[in-house]
Amino acid sequence: MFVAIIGGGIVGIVAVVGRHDDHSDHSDHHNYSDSNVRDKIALMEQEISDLNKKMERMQRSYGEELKNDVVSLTDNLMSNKALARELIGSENLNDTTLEDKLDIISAATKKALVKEQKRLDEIDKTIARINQIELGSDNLN
Amino acid sequence: MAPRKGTVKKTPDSIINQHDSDLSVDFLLQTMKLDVLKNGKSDTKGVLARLEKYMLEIVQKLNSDSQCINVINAGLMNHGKSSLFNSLLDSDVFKVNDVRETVVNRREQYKNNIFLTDTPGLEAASEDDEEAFNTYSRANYILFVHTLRTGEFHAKEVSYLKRLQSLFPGNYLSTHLGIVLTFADSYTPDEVYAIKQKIIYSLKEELGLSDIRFFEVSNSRYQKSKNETNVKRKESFLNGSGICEIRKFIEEYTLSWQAENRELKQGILKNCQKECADLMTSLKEPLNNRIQYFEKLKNQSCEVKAKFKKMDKEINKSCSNLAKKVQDLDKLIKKWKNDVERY
Repeated sequence: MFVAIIGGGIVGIVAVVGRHDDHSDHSDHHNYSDSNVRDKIALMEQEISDLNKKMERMQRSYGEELKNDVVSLTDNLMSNKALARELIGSENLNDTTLEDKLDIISAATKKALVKEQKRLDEIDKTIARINQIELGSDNLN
Repeated sequence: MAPRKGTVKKTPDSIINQHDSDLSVDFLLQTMKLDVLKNGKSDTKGVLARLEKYMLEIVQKLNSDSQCINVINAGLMNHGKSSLFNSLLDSDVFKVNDVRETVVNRREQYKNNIFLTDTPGLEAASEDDEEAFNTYSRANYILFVHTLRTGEFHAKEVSYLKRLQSLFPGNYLSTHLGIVLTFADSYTPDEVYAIKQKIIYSLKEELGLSDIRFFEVSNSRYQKSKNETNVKRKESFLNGSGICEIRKFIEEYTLSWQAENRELKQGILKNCQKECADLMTSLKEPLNNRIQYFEKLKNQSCEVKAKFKKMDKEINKSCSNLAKKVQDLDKLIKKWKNDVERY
């Protein structure tokens, strides 16, 4: 999911820059006469380099943020160890990636909520059934 | 059956003799409460199913009991309570003696759903009085037996009637109490009338009760009617015994008492339903706590996911931007190389 944050994006860009390096032979630029073009190329290379650095910073920052958020989520999960065990069962969250942790917790809580809501509904339905009983009724159905 | 006022102490003997649903209903309610207390958190589903089952049992008990009529005797020892009931039953099931024979309540079926309960004579022993009073609260009708031999009411009888009155709400007793004057054959109608007037006066002055029904009976006449072979004399003894009048009265009022029972049981059922619903509602509390915990985690995980989806989009956008710039640079260099080679 978060491929760019985790690092896939950068690899792609580095490859593009690499391919450019392979066939553009920067060392020969000065052998060509048009200084305007050379300046333009230099400017674009600088821009690419800056953008690359900016992206690397962004990735690091976002990656760090994701890590902190997932740690906070895991801490909240473990605030009730019994329920946490009930929720995620025997799955070992330590061995999973941040993204998997997030997915496991998210899916488990959604499932648990549906289950709990069903139990609440069952209580309400039973109360309604009980309240409908009148003397003379043979059963509750 | 009388609407109960206050709590009446229940002894094991009365439990055996009453065949009454009230104790079972109380027991089931207590069982329900204990079950919720013990298993409510760990086994909500199981507890819920059991509570529903208990309620079914309660309804069944209330249903069967609402048809049941209890006619109960009351009065001092040796005033003829057991003899009266033996005559009504036309059988000697209740022990009769000058010494105290009835020490616990004893219940016998009179007809279909009608039961007669013989109680210990009042004044004999305080625990026996308790035994008797426990039963009165469940009476559809109380036959207070007084022997004409002692004349007007004794102070103790007035005192017991006051206690009896305290068991019931409002003027319930005035319509559910009959005074049975025994040994009517030993006195002239005028003598009986005089004693009766004194009793009526006591009931009104001491207890505020008026229009109380009176029955004059003679158990000896009834016994004579059983042994008499002459049809006319047999009939005369029987009519003079007053037993047929009581029998007729009981049968006439059965439907009305059953309707009262039903109304009372309906009230008990409503209370049980409320208690059961409260217990079931209490099961929601731990579930709500769990839901709160799960909701918090779900919301947090959704927020984290949304946040990082947005960040991922930003990075992808920057990536595309960077890729485009690299592509532009590539094109420019290629074009520049071509130009240089051409010239």
